[in-house]
Amino acid sequence: MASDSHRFRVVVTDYDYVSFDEERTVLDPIGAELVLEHARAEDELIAVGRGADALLVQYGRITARVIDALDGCRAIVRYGVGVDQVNIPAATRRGIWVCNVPDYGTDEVSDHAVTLLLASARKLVPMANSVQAGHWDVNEFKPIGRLRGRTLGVIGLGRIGSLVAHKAQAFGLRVIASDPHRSTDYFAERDVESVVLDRLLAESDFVSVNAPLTDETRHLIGERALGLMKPSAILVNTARGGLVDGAALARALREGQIAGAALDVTEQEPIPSGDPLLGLVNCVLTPHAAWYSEEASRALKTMAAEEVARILQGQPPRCPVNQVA
Amino acid sequence: MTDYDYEHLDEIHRVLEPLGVELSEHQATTEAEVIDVARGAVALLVEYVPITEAVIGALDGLRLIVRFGVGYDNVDVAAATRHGVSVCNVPDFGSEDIADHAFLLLLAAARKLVPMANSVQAGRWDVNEFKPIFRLRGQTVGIVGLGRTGSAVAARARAFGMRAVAYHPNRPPEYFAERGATPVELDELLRTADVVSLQATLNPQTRHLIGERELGLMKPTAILVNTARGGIVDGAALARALREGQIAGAALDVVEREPIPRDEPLLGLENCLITPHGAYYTEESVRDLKTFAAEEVARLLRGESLRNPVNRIT
Ligand SMILES: NC(=O)c1ccc[n+]([C@@H]2O[C@H](COP(=O)([O-])OP(=O)(O)OC[C@H]3O[C@@H](n4cnc5c(N)ncnc54)[C@H](O)[C@@H]3O)[C@@H](O)[C@H]2O)c1
Repeated sequence: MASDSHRFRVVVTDYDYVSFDEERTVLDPIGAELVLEHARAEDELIAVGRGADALLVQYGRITARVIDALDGCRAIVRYGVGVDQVNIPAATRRGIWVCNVPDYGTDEVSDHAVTLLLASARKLVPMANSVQAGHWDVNEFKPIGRLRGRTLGVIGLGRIGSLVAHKAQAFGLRVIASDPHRSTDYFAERDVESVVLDRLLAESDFVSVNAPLTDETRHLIGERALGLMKPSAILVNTARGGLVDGAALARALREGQIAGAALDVTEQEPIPSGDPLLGLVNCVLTPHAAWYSEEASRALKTMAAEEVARILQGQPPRCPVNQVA
Repeated sequence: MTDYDYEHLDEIHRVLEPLGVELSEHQATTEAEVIDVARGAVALLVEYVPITEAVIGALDGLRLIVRFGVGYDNVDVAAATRHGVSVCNVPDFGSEDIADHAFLLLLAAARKLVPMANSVQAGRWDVNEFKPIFRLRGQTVGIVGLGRTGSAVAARARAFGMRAVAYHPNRPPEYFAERGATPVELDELLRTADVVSLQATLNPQTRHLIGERELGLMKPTAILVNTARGGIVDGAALARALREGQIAGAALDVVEREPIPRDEPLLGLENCLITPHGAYYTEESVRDLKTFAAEEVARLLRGESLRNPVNRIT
């Protein structure tokens, strides 16, 4: 509990939110002070972390150096699912909990992934722009194939991947998936066939990336993987930009090695102005928006603050991604 | 073939050649041109050109009109019936494809996909520009016209955790239950739906079914999707409603005048997504459409009963 001698200091290291009403609703009753910062560089993060009892992190990279400079911090809670920007072993060594919020927006991300899939398949963005430019001719967008009977390959059949599969099945798509950490029963419950990655790439008309970014999955989709895909295939990525080698993908799209891509995440965000993925008619880009809805945003902020409150009050966290002795 | 916008008609030739039938291909755009090119025809295959009483009356040996698609509002069916001419449509060549496009329009409008994608190309990267977006799970989709396509839209909506309500006159409760939608009256649908999806045929009862009064009943957060026919919606009233924020957005594959004229008030609105009457199109649907249409002509010539007549000749 907060005492007169120590008021909890909860530091938001970086954010692009417009309000913090949800956090205050949770943290005010335990007497915690909420400090809002805009630190992105390592030295800035070290500076703002001083004296913090807990960090709430959106995009800032919490490296080993940042963690080693913390004094008295007990929790690092990531606003979101992916914790790839936090050095988890370093936190564990220092006895600091690292938590994520895995379930605030699974519907939003899977809806967005299916939207990107359908939009690429039906060439929606160029079609809509052509009408605004004064054209009215669907023949400009040939060929478009029927969805029913085609194959979707989901890489990473977790919370989001499973919902992508379910929603895609409603369009008559056959779903296959690769996920080394799931059982045969788990696949069967979802009516999804388990395949190894190379077979998934070779057989799929659509590939949806829904795996976490880890050392093993970085550049999982690079030149070799793209070379296995069908020339008519479309790649959808709503997971993390680092799973895909962007330069190799841009080449594959320009040379027609695959038909299209739709990406909500890129290797560098915001996407740099000279990025080779920009300006391609067969590449749809959205600004890391898949997670967002008003409801998801409120749930995320409430759940992240609740996790901080639990740890500061000595209760076990709900969604730890490490184990602290 | 009075008019068409396909690259080739191979499927039609394949069906008709064995019967020794000649397919005469034209691009008529007016009544007079149709009368001119169709003299002596037994059957007409029609895409967009109007087949009026004047046309039907002028063509003596005509026995069948096949409309290349689901809607047949460009054919005067009553006149055809009076002259003993059968009219068929092809209702089932692409209802799944149309439902796919309709649901894509729903998703894209809800998630503001097109302005979002264009903003990234213009050098921006900020999801906050697109507030608010609402969660689809738990929302209600209101389907006007629960036919083949409407039912397919309802099935897709359920997979996304949306509730389906539908308006379709003169259908028993079982009809709705079998298609997984709750029956409602039109006004109630408009008042309660978060997304209104139009899947009705255009006829005198449905022309301007959605006008100023109906738009006024809709929620300010609601989205209107139309993949049916432009004439079902009063486009001028819709443009006003979109500009004044009376409803949140629209996504239209069809408009009242096609090709869309430059002065169309629905153009240039950030919250109005428009595609060029492309919902029906996939390579497979167009192949099926041509085959199914030609097979109706073949049935007529072989003296078999027609598969999809929309009138009855006594
Ligand atoms: N774009 C956004 O706004 C947004 C929002 C939320 C989450 N995400 C991202 O979505 C992804 C999925 O999130 P989730 O909630 O479904 O996570 P999850 O942990 O529930 O699922 C991930 C799945 O990937 C599997 N996996 C791990 N390594 C794999 C490999 N090498 N090959 C195939 N599968 C592998 C895991 O076994 C697990 O089943 C994450 O990368 C997350 O960062 C993006």
